[in-house]
Amino acid sequence: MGKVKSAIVLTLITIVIAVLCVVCFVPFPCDGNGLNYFNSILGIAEKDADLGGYLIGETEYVGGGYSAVLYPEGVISGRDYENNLAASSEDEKEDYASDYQAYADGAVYLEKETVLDGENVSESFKEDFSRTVSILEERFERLHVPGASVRIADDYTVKVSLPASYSLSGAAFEYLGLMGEFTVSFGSDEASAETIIPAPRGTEHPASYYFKSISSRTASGVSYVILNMTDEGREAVAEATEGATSSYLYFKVGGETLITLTVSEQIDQSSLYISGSYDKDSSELVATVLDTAMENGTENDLALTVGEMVRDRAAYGDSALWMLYIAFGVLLVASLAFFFIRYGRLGFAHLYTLLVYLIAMTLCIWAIDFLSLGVGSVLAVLFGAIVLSVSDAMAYEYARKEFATGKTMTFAVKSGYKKCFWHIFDMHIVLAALGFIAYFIALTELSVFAFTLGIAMFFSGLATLAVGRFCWYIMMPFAKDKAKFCRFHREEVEEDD
Amino acid sequence: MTKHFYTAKKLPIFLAISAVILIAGIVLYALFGFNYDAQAGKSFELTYDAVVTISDGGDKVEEVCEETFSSLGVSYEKKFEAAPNVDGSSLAETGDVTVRYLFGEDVSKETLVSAKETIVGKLSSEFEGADVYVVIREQGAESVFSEPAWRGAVALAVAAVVVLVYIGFRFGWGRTLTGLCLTMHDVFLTLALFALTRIPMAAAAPLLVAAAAAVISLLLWMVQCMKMRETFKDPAFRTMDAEEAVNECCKSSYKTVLYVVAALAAVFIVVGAVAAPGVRTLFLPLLLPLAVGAYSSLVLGPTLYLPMKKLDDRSNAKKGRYVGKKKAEKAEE
Repeated sequence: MGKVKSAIVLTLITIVIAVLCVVCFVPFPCDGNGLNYFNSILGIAEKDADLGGYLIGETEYVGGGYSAVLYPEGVISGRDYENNLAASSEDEKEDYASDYQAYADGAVYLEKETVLDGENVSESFKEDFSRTVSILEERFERLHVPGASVRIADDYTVKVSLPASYSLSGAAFEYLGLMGEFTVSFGSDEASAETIIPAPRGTEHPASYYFKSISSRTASGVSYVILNMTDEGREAVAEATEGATSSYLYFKVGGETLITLTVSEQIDQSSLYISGSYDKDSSELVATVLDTAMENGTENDLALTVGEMVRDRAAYGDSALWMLYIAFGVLLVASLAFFFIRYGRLGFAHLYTLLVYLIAMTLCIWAIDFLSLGVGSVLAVLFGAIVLSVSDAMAYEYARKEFATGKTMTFAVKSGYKKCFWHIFDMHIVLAALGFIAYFIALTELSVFAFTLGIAMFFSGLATLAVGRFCWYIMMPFAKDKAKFCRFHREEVEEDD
Repeated sequence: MTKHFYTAKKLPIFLAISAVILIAGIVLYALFGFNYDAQAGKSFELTYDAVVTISDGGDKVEEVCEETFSSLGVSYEKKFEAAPNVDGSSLAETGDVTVRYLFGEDVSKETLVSAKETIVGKLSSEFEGADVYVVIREQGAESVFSEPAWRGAVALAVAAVVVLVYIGFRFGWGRTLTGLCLTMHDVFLTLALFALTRIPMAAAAPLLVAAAAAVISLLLWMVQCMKMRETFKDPAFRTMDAEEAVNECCKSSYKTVLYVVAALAAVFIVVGAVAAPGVRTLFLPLLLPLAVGAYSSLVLGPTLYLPMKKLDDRSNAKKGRYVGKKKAEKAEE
């Protein structure tokens, strides 16, 4: 390529990379008064509960999470107790106070009638609470959301958290806290609907006798809740809906209706696909609650009430993300320093390659729905950057060796890349395959790490083999002494006189 | 006669070292598990009205809290930045803000109750009519979900086997089997060392550490495989026996492996040193799988590969063709 063509192409590439760098990494105010602010792609990319959680604009948060305290029936927060007591009339105050007993130094109050057996918490309440916690744990686990957590607080309350990247946090706390028996009722309205599953009282069969499983599926953008019935379940539904024209089936947990299905004719099939207005997350949420209630729910389960809810900021502190960016900056400078010292101005080719890789990764993390910026994805991006730097160094070393044997610079570069092509290809394909295969099986944090590793290896390979080489190719014509440009030396050959 | 570093005789020693660490790690894991940073302890939660009574006074609230804690001689383990309280259904902010401090089990509840009284008193006099509410909770450990753990283990195992099949086609089955053993060895040894050293880790960290160990192990063994394949093409290696060939090859390859190890170490140290404490708890301990990976690819791997290369050479000799002859001829040209 001639000097003029190279200059034009290099200028264009530089402009594109510079603009993308600004868009991806540099936030700036758009006007003098600071009211309008341009947020970089990295700024608005979703962050996980550990690193994210700071404000952009006035009200919008990026990352972080939500946490709430769930109170079983018979247990209320100290604040609620104080507020209720203050709101009671003087006559009622004494009665109200005598109904409760402070627990955990007043952090919570226990209703004597429901929770206590004499002075102590009754064994039956302890057992019920323990069972409720197990169901909650199972539900939160089945969401497969990275950063979801369940922990017991003050012995008889449960603190739950979900990352803000999970769009249904508020609803999830309400739904996942629904305890009780799974029932199906049929009728023209909810109030008068009769329970058909489990069969009216007197039979011993639980809901799991009528349903095999309740799951969710998303296909072609439509999400369904799928209820797989046993023969008995099918029979019960068919019998109830026989001759129906405009009635409803109500699927309830603990008396709360989760699904209302319009019935215009008899339903006589083993599986019900209910679409409604679900998206992937909401269908999974509803299916998880119904399935766990179907398997474990009983009419004696403790009802849970969602108490205080907080929008959590970064678990690792507000400065965690900035510190990480600084660490990235230090590593970038260190990598460039090594390449500029060892390979002279060829370091610019590495700089362009690394920037293209980082831009591509930033855009992917921002654009791909289930990816977020967390320690796992940062680790994967760093692995990609290391492999890219190692690959660049390998290619330059091979070219250096070729040049030393007396080949022209153009031929040395060509030959160097040819010789190391399979090394670089193998290294990238192996790690990319490891990432993508692990992603398909793994869950939560590991699946985010694995997928990010896969795309990091893809872009690292692409950047090294295509961008790096192309940059070298278009930068070379500007050098008067091509060997000096790359700090390459020929082997000294002693000639006999 | 030249003494070789990599000899089949040393293999039992290396395997014994790994076995001892693994067994000790398994025993400790069975007894105590990993040292999870489960964030259990006493949680001191202060909620205040951030709109009317203590508007823009968040810094002062935290200052008062921290001064009181230090005057009582207690220090918190972790501070959670002031977070807005939200409405459960709309997720809209209610105007209250909660700042949370986590104390260890050793801090008495009486001390925290005393801190609560002092703080509420100070803030009430500082901000007229301030609506401040403090609750001291006993916070239990975070539940550990089992499904992500076993699915993660299956994912890593399946992925490692599949990529090693590819390596088998590219670099030969001897090196693949060695790679498979090394990857498994590195993952388990790393986890055993984490159990032994009691390094604190977050709930998801064992999975990430295991994955990082697999990636590092594969990367470093790939470097060895590439060097071996390239070196064994050299006609000079035709006459060498397996032990001599591996020893000669590793004389040049160890530098490349060390360069990659140095690059990875630099990254983990820089991120660990500069980043916030939470990030540091993942990145600095990654030096452990890196050390294990370096040991495996530089010491255990080539030694383990020796008997396989011997078998490979013998089977090639039986078939009447020499290992890599065609490629060697090409290289000569």
